[in-house]
Amino acid sequence: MEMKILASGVGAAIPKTSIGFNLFSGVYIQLRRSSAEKPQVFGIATGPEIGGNSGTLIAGHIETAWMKIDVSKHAWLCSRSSLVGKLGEIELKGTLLFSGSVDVAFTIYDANNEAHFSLSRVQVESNGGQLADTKVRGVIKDMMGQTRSGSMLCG
Amino acid sequence: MANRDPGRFPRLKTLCNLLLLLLQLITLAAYWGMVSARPSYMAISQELYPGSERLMNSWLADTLVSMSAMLVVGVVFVLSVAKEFAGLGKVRRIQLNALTLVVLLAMLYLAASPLYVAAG
Repeated sequence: MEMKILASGVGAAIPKTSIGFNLFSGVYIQLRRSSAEKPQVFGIATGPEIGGNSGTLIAGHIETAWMKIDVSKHAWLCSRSSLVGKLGEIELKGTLLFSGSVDVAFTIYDANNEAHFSLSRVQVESNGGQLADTKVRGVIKDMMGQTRSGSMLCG
Repeated sequence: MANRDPGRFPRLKTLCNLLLLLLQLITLAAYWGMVSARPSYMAISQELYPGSERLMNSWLADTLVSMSAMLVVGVVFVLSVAKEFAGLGKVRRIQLNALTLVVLLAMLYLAASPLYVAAG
């Protein structure tokens, strides 16, 4: 399985603190079984808010390369029902100037807002620009409108 | 960036000016990344709005997430760097750099926010 992240944000969030202002943040999480298949897209977007839930320092846009995911370790990514409607958080850490690498962390929270599933990957090849971190936290939407409870994304 | 009007806190002013130029460069890189990712956004857009040829069914996104808009942003940044050598005072350069950063951030916000409307 492969995953790719597209994220953007404008705001004034100070990394590693809960201090900040988010004008807007958005992320698309693309998942596909193999490079030959069409990706399934999930999205999170947030509007203006104060605090450390979402935000970036001034401005950021990141497009990661496709990351290979070991489905035996992250079987939760195979099921739409473990993603859609759940509180999710994507964090992309590291300074990026046109091209470079960032650290990616993807966390799913349960109904009690406790971290339930998580995936982290360091030094992911990426394009775009950001001064420090970009974080987007919100309810995950199925962008393709094909949500079927329990339907599998993996082979 | 010669020291033409040292006045008070000259080093602080120089630091502030360099920081504003760095933030402009980061915003330029973010804008470039967004324009480079247009095919990925277009693929998502075609799934979300099959009847629309515009990116995310938005005139604003379609216009601003394009190479021509990227050229405008690039020219604004080049002019911003060029004015550093035009003999302006430090305070005036800081003011112009702050204004340029606000313009670049406004363009990035106007271009990027429609891309995620459907995910909100």
